[in-house]
Amino acid sequence: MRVVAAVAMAVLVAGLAAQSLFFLRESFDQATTSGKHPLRAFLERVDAVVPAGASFAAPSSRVSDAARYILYPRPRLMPAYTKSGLQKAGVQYVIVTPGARPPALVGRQPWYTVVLTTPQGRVLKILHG
Amino acid sequence: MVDWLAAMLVCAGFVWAGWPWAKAIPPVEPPVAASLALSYLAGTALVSLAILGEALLGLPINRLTLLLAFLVVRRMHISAKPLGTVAPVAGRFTNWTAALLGITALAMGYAMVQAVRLGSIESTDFLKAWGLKGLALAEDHNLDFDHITSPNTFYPLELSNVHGAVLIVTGDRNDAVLRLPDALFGVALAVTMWWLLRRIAPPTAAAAALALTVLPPEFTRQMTSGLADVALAAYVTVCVLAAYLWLLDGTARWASLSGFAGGAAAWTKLEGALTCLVILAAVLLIRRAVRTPGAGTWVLWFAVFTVPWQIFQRLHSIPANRSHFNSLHLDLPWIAKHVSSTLIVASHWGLFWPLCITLILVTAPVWLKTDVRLLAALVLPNLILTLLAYVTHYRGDQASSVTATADRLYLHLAPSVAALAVICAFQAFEGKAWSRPVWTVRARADDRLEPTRQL
Repeated sequence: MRVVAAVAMAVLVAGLAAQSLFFLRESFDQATTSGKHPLRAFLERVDAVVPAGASFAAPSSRVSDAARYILYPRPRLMPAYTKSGLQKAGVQYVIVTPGARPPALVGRQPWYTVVLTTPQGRVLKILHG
Repeated sequence: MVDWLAAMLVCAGFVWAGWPWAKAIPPVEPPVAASLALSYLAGTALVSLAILGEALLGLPINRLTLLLAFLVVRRMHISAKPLGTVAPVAGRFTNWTAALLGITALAMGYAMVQAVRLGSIESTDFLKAWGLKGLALAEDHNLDFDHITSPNTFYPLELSNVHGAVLIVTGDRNDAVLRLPDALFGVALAVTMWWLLRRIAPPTAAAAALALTVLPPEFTRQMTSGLADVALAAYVTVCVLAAYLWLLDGTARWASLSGFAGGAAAWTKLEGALTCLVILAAVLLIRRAVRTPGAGTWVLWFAVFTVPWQIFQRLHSIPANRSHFNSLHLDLPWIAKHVSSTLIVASHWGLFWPLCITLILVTAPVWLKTDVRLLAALVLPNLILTLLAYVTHYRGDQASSVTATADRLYLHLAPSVAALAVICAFQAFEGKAWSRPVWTVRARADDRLEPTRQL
């Protein structure tokens, strides 16, 4: 039993010392990392160009979830990302990001206008009627 | 700056509202620091519940009704007086104890600095649930989430109501300040854990358990992430340690604190309900009696937090978790392998999990002969049963899903596992069982303290 006790205490002391080092390393990494969030910064710009009450959609589920929070209380819709799908669903604005770009929303089309272009993505205003 | 002052005011309000409860729920009167920490845990749980009560009555949730919620919680406390005192376990307060407490204080201080420094929150689940529902409460002044079209509307409301309360008071959308109430859950956990552990273990063991709990980078990171896991960890830890004292004591005295924390855990996150019900089941199994003294009180507290939310969900047609239970993944070795490989990633947990498991296993021949086996019976089943979450999770067979969630999914168990591991090691090292908590009953007539039997 004495061996068990000695081993346990040695493991605990060594473990706590190692954990302290992990803590210091990670804290240093976290403290030196920039607090800026690129997606959030982009969506805050989107917030400025999309009118209050306008509905929006985003093909990327991550962007869509984040936009639902930043653009709240504007209604988020989840349409098919085609001309007819977007118009039928009544989507007014679409947030397109490089990671999720449906073919119908590439480049410029006569049924939408681009209201914001940034390296993080574009905001399209869907023309209805 | 004004937002930060407003957030501090709300946090102080939680402590103020919870103060009488922190004095009344435990069977002994905690010292000032522990009272403040327990007040925060009680205040956040009960004020957020009072907000639900107001919503059930159809009241709009605005600054006035929020103030009413604080006042109601402060005034409505149960008028129980502490039954007596429980002396801390004997032991010397050494330089090691001081150093370990210093490390804990440093980690907490660091997390608080991060809370102020990091700015707005971008965690996925904050944006999808804990932050979104808080924002909806602050903007819409109600808890009707039907328009949100989110699969997360069934999540319990404690944290989102706390977020909503802060945003209502600040009056704008600066969610950076929400890191403050979230981080305070971690601080409250550490202080309450110290108070409870000192009734179970000598000072150095209690301090080592505390340091082991707060040192993993995942712990301090999650304190400011806007998610519910650290808050859940606080309640689950109180539930476990109070349940252990309940078992050691042999009477019903500690059941109310354990039940209160169990109910608050269920009100914080779904996992909290299951985890704390497993803790209750362990108590009943150990006592070998369903009508164990205190079991009724425990269940009552649990119901106080879970029944109103269930009623609200039915009234507002909030759907249950539809994606869970749709599929079954029975490849347990695959789940165990992916969970364990996630938990040993050093940048999240350091060596925490291998260290704790090693200490518990190596010292098993010693602690199996002592009361510590009761603590093990309360802690270890949840460690295994948490794996079952992936059996029914709709993405439980996807390695990426397990990797993304396992770190957080085990966070609420980490403090009690740390406590068990350290107590096992110290028990083995000291070679003899510690004495059980000694009660000193408060005499009614002259308020003197009289020592009673050692249980």
